[in-house]
Amino acid sequence: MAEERTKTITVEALARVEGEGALHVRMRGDAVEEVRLEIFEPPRFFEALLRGRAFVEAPDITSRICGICPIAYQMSAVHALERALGVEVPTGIRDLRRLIYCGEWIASHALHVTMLHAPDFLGYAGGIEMSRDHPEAVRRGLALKKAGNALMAVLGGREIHPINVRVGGFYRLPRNAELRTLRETAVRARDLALETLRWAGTFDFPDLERDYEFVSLRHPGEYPMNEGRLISSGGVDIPVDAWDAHFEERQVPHSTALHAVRRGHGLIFLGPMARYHLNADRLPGWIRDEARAAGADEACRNPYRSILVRCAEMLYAADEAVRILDGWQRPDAPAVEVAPRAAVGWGATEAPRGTLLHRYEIDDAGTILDARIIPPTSQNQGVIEEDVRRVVEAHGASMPDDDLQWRCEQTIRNYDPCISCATHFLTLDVERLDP
Amino acid sequence: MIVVGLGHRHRGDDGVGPAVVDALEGCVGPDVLLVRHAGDPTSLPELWAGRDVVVVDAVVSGAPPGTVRRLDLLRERVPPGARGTSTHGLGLADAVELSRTLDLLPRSLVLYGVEGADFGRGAAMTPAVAAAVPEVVARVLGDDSAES
Repeated sequence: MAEERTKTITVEALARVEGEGALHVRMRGDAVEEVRLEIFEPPRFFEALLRGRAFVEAPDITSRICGICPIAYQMSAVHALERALGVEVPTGIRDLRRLIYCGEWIASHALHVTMLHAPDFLGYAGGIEMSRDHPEAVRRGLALKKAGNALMAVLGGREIHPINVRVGGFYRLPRNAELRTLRETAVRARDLALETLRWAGTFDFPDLERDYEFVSLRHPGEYPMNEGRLISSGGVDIPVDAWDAHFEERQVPHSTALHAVRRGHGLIFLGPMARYHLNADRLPGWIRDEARAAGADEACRNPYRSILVRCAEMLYAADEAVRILDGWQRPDAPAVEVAPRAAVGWGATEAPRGTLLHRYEIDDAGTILDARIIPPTSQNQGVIEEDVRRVVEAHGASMPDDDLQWRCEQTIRNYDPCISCATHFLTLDVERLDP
Repeated sequence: MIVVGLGHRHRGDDGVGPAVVDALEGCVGPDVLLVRHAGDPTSLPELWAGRDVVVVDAVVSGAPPGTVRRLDLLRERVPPGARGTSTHGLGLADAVELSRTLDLLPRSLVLYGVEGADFGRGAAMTPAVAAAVPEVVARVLGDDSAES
């Protein structure tokens, strides 16, 4: 009988708030027997909370799932419910939704790029340590984040849990003076994003190519945010409400998160790299040129280079915000009236970290009978686990646990998952068994 | 003055920060900015630079639940548990450190740390922590009047 030697490293005893992560590794001698990424996902808790509530409450309730991407939750909720109820919003409202989403992309990407991901390339434990030697880069990142938050605060009412978004539109439309200020903010953000992209282009990237099946929305004329068909690099091209016929969520025993796969195929990968791969032709030519010059062309399958794609998307979001602000036509009313009836509807939008799907079933009075939320992090979880497994297979036998943990965290950070282990709060258990 | 209530309402005693801010609503003058904050704390340095700041947060130190501690964060270290594991892992201590390196420190920075017991998903605040809310409110108001 092999004698069991279990070694436990606990980084944080009490993980709380947005998401929680733990990584379990079991090795027998030099062989990796098991790699399990354990994630608690708030959406499951919120699905239960939504049942029995009025449909108009869904955007506000789901926006509380995440302090980083509340707009994504609001947008998927309103689109799903409007689709269920056959509501079309006018262009002026559609444009404002895209504008507020630009703000969230900028804020979320700026935080990840500057405070979480860049320190890995420059050899720092984190953004705080990096700020001592690179204060300008950190100031620029925080200014970008602030610009994104300003877009969210003006249109959303406030930045952390915006309250101005409703089914049918907004509660209040922005004033012209507010929009003029936002334009200046967006122009400045565009300059900062370009500087950030060029700065990230100077990093050294490890060689690694992964064979992903990329999945994202695709819109006939725009880089995708709020609308489109769901497509994949493996040939999927479906309306959003056909998701169940092509993909499935599997319960895995070690996690409260469900893992998503393409039926009959396997793991899928969502987020900035997938959007870019599948929609680069929807970006302005000069932004594509800048992304390529920095080191990320649309064929890129190196997860380390995802930082460049996030920078390119920040640049696009700022540029798109300026474009929207220059052409915006004020609609007659802040929202269209929405009357409930028994219905089912799907909605999907592009959260900063990938496609976020909502499905609602409501009754005649508009009470939510059933809610489903399929967040991007759980859809990416299989790919993340596979990458971590490779790291453990390559280094698990030779590396001390501390170093192994850092390598695993770095690997996970490539994917910007919505869990606290994206930074330094991964609880890693390495179980080392004799051969 | 700025009062920042850190925490997440859906996580039991973690909701004490926002609860104190709720209770302060209507009790403070227009010169006091009330902030409920469950997002990442990297926005705090810009928000609080050069101002008088009070932060209310749940802490975990082993004291009896509901115990209130007042700390001057410009002189003392952030205790463990106070936003130690907030969104995406960046915490209150990081926000203070970031402010220091970027020269964005507040003029004064006081933490009211309320010892928490239960941070369960969907849990309500435990009675001992809920009972501490009026005490924190009174002390924050005392700080405000001492200043003006």
